[in-house]
Amino acid sequence: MLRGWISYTLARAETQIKGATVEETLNDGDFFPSDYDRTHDVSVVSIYDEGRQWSFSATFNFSTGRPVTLPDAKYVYDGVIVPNFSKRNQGRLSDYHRLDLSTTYVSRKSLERKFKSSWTFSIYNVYARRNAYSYLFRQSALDPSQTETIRYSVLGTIIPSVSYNFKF
Amino acid sequence: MRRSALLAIILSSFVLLACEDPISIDLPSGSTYLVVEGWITDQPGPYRVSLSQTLPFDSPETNPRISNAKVYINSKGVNYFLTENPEKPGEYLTDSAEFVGVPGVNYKLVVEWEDKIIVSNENSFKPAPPIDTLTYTFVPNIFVPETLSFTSGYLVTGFVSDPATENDYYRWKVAENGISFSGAEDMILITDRFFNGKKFGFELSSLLFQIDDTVTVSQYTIDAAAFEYLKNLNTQAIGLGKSTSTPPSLVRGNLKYLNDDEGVILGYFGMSSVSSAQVVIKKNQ
Repeated sequence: MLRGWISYTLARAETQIKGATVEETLNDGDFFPSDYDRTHDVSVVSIYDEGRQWSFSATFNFSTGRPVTLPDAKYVYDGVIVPNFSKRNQGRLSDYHRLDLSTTYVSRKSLERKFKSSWTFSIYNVYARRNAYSYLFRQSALDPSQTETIRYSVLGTIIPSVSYNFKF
Repeated sequence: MRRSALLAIILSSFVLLACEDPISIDLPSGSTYLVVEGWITDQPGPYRVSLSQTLPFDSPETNPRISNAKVYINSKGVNYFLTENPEKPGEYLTDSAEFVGVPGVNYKLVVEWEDKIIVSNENSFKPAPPIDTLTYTFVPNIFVPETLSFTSGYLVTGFVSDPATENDYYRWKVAENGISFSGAEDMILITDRFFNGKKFGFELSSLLFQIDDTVTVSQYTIDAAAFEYLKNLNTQAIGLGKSTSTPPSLVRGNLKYLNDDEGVILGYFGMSSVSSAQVVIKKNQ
């Protein structure tokens, strides 16, 4: 039997920092997207029970990339290339999406005993997408006269796992 | 298993979980800003003031220099004019016979460029306490995260007797065999907040030296504004993007357009006195 659910959230989170002086004000005192603003957030979860022994599940997540501050200029001071950030959170990271799969096996014997156990085989990030955690803007390590934009991703690879569960 | 090997495995597991890829994204190309960089000290000149302009962040060009500006340092009603270095356009030099920075005297920088006048805040600087000693200790096993390996070498510590006055700030520049460490990660900034008026030792913990290396430490006394500026600049250059990082923002210096409080000038005109010390690493100390 196939079961599952789909969830969708449309959201907007903005902030305003309007201080008494220019130094205490961001983005000219206008509202701007806050760090955790995610416009679209979608989750699709499906579970398939083939019988009593095997079950399969798939989870797909999608969310709009979070706001990020992009440099609008660069300059050199003290021999170091410095990125200049005039306005906060005017750009966005690339969209986040990830598919996870898993299957669980319960042995026939286990179903009949008081001590029940199962094996779960799962794959996190099936298509090994390198979702951006942040962007780094810096002087190039290979050629210090140039700048580079770096996508920094965490767990940006496929991760298989096996777990053994039991209850009694 | 050796504790060090275990540590290496644990650390490398964290390294393998994250990856960095160079990418190309659309970046805003905002306004062009004027950038002023200049420092005067109590050491013999000439002192350098350079004028340039910003470029879009992903531009492969070098930042354009600004020539034919009128640049002078004003002190006690006297203007000391700088002349443009014919070999380096955009770099202006003081006349070393005419002008040397003196602690306690007020200075400000004035730049007249096209129809604009740019002025720095007027400021003075404190005399630098001497670096009493430089000592070094041998470290047999130090972990290098970049290469996931262990190495050995000497760590150098400088000792200074901080004056009784509060809010003393220092910048240390370190040179190995006459070659300065000039990267943003090598910028050493020290505040006397936790040891005001006492003798303090500061270890150059990110630098490892070897036998027969000559280590020179130059100590620049700076004020709170320069300390904040350099700290923020350093953060913007290397310290952004991680979850614990400071949010990126405009680094404001101490320069402004005359009669225009809204206009942004990047850079800083700083002043400091300098003391220095040197040590040669020998096998048995």
